[in-house]
Amino acid sequence: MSSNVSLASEELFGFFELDDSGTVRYWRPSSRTNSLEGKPSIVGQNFFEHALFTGSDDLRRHFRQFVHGHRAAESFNLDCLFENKTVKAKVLMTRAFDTDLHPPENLVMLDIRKELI
Amino acid sequence: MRGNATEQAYFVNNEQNKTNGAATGTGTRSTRYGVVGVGACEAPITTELTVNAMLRQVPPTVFRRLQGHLKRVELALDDYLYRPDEELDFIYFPETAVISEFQILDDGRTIEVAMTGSEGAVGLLSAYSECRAASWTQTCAPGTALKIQSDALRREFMSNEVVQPIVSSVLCSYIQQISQKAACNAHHSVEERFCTWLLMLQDRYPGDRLRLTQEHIARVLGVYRPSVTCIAQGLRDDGLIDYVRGYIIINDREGLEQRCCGCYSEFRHSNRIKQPVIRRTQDSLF
Repeated sequence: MSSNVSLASEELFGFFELDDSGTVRYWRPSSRTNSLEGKPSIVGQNFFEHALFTGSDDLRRHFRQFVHGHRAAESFNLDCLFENKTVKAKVLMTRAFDTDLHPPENLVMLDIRKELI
Repeated sequence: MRGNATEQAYFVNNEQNKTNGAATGTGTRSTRYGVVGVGACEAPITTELTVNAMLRQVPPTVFRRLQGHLKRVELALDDYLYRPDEELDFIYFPETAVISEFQILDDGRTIEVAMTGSEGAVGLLSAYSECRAASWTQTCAPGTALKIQSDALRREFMSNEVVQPIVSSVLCSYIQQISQKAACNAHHSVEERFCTWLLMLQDRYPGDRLRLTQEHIARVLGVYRPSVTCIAQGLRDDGLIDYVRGYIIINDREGLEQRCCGCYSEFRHSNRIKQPVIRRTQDSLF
């Protein structure tokens, strides 16, 4: 895995398309907090190897359950701890294909947004 | 007919929907397949004026010969023009309507392979020789189109050297679009394709309010409907679009252009699409 790319900060917030192993197929940081300009891409790399914040295990667990389940969409709240600062996030996971009909294909959309207080 | 069981079931369901629509007075008219909006709306062309870019290239003398064969039809949303393996007996020149061509896979998934508006024509291959449809062809945005019997245009095409390059040029653009879409469907993200498709539709149907359901968009993109909801919510949260009661409103076209894939500019270039002048809707849906 390359580098110094990490989702250990607010770069975490955005829209991702992941395959069932968690490999990033597409990434667009949230327009409110980030821009892609000048940043190395994590496309082709494993999302969870870059999601370096306290709480990412919880996110990985949700992801695995979702991938192996049959639900079309799922949302939950997540507390992300970045260097002693907790940020509340809203996570929405959606399946791009109906895996009952297309079992070989599993693409999950992961939308992580900072909860506005 | 070549269509498999899934295609048949899909078609039957749509036919039933149309029958129901007609029964409840929603105005769908029936023809050969209960699909094309003709009847009272079908009227001979009395003027050479048309907004179809291909027909506008035809010299006036040729147009006058075609005039008696052209009929203006009103196409309602989801009207079918052809289904696979069906003879292409008519060619349609969209004016304000937008036509989509779909493939249906064995597992029932559909995906759009081409979109045609006033820049081109549908069923144009039959200008060369008798041939059959390769895709399901359906109205994606309601409006008018001019239609002509294929053999009438074929006679003109075969005998007129001025018409041949016009037809060939439009067909070439069509093939370019199909090729680009094949690559796009295979390699680009669902979000990028969603944005590209909305822009392509608005280029051909230049209102800020597009009559669309998320179900329809899912079918176009070949994805599960909840994923369209997810993307649409994101675009709405970012102020790019809004949606209500079967409509999508494009609020920020430039923002969508930043989210779409590079294919969009290729589609515009190959189909010679000009920057649309967007008609803003005055009344509010909210």
